[in-house]
Amino acid sequence: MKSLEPGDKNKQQIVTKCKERINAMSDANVYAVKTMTSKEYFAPGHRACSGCGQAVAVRMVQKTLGRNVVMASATGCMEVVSSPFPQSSWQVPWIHVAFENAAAVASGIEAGLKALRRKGKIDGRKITVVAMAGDGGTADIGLQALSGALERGHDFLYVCYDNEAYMNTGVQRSSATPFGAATTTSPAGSVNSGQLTWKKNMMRITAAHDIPYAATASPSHPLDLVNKVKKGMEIEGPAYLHVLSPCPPGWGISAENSIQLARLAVETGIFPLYEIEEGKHRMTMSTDKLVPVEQYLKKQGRFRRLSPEMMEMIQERVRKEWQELKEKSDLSHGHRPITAENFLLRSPEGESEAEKIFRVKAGAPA
Amino acid sequence: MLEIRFHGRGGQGAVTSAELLAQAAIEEGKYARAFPSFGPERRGAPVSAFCRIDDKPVTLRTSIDSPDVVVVLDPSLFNAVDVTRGLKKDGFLVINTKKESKQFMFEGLKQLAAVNATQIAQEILNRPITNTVLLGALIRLMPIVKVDSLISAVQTRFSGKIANLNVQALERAYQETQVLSNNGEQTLELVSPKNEFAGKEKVGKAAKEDLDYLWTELSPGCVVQPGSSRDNHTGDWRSCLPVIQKERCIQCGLCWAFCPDAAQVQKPDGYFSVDLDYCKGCGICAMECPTGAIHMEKELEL
Ligand SMILES: Cc1ncc(C[n+]2csc(CCOP(=O)(O)OP(=O)(O)O)c2C)c(N)n1
Ligand code: SF4
Ligand code: SF4
Ligand code: SF4
Ligand SMILES: [Mg+2]
Repeated sequence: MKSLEPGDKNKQQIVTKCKERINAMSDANVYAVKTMTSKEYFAPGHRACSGCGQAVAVRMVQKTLGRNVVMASATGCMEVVSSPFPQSSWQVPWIHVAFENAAAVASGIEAGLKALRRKGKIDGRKITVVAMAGDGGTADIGLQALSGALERGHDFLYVCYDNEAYMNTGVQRSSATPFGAATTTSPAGSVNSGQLTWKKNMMRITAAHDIPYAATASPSHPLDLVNKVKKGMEIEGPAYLHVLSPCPPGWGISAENSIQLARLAVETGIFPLYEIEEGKHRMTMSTDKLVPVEQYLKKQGRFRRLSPEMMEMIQERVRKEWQELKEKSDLSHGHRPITAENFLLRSPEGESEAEKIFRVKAGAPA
Repeated sequence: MLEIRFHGRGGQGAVTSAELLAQAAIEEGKYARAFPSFGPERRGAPVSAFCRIDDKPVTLRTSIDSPDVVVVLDPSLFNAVDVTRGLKKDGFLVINTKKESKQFMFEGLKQLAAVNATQIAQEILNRPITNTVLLGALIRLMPIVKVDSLISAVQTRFSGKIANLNVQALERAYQETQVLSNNGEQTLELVSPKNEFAGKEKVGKAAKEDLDYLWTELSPGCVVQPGSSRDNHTGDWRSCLPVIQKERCIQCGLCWAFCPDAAQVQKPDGYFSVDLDYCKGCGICAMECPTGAIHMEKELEL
């Protein structure tokens, strides 16, 4: 979505262009934004790179979680950029833990709160316990702590911010790095374009623990993300949220593109938005037509050396996995996907609230 | 031993400057060691790099706290970092500025070299990477190494067209650098950034005071002030600034939602305005604004 030319004064033309854009954005997201609190629980002044997609995601998640939370945060970019002594970006109780034990510490917090409640030392109000970690801290080194916490059934939410490599230490591959992506430890050369293995599927792994809730989310789809965080908080027992987090330096993209890339990852089917609730799959962003993966891959430096054959392999696999997911989702009836239409935004006249605000502003007739 | 400290921003090449200078010195048969200082900061954040040159082997591997020479690659750093911290008496300062150079002179400084490095870099390299430009200014101020050795270091480091352009930039800086000697009158004027959100509540203590804490002075389990990173003004990382055209804005708030740095702030009239203290100039808001109400403009140099 390129900016309109600044000098461009033709209102009617702008109205049309904007309508297209608003539709493309989906009104539902505008709605989500209106419901988010203006309070910042992840304060500015943090040292994340300019345009960090993970920082956008964390900010949105924290806005949804509100203040009645206790966070356990594994080391990784978000921990390092938010807490250089003696400053902190956190405005909620937040514990920096080691690389591998976010889930274990969250388990301890949850058990501790339970004990305090039983002894009458704190009242019965709900305090959400949240563990957060990167893809390295989740899919690699933190996997057994996570598995343990899920299996023991602690009432907590685990959020994995997946930027698809170990970014804090300078872009080393993780098991969540996608096939074909170049990192410093899966470098592109004359034969290989990068990572030789397929991305580990954390959703399947966590869901296999029969937890009540697991979902994927992306900062490019705020409404969907907000809904899933809320569900994760409310559901009793362990919940897992896997959030895609574009990283400009690690992915070789320019800073302004990180949200756009997250959106493309969803629209190409590379990162489908779905949830698994009580074993039932549901796609929360369904589309009839997937955008070709090439449009997503070509925009990123880390896929620069991808050959047309590899691109085709990726396309094939994405198509197949999308299809499988769709079939699984169709099995579970009675769920209503979150789309713009399902949100009570559209007035009977068919004009959305955002469109209306804009039309009135631009002085155009209805 | 000569100790030189470079101050730049992530991506501007401060580390490369220190390394090139060391390489040139080594080529001349001297001993040198160069290394950067790493912090949690990312792209655009202030960084420093160190270079030591001597006639005997350099074994010291610590950061340089009392340099003989300080080189400042970015004019905005004067407001962000205490660049002359620990500078030796009768030391030297090399700066990138388009301002009148004498206002940067201060007591105790022996000589000052000033060059409009951003302009030279923009014109020759087409991007504000000022490292080789400031090396040109540095050796104009004091012939630490010969121009030829530095050029040869640049040619070893870079190749082809990039090498040539960097050599051009270095040579032009050498020509255009102004060197001032102290006559004991002027004082250093630090420019304060224009802050439209001035008077905003401070969350923690002033950052500088805080940094003087020792961990032993803190009570066990102590927590630093929540949200005190607000004292860290990341606005000075920015090289582009989002400009909002009100007449296009539908107040949807997407710019606010997608900003990684909470730098879009809604005013009572419903419109959004950019908090210059924190906006890193990433451009996400301009990209995501559904009505194209935001465009990015090059940040004017202080
Ligand atoms: C046991 C251990 N090994 C290695 C490290 C060094 N380390 C710190 S953060 C990090 C990578 C984090 O990657 P990820 O979890 O994906 O988070 P990101 O930085 O990408 O957000 C590593 C290897 C550590 N802190 N502890
Ligand atoms: S390296 Fe990537 S994930 Fe880490 S702060 Fe920078 S943009 Fe964010
Ligand atoms: S995204 Fe654009 S239209 Fe929406 S509030 Fe921001 S400036 Fe206004
Ligand atoms: S340019 Fe980036 S940091 Fe600045 S207001 Fe826009 S989104 Fe926020
Ligand atoms: Mg990671």
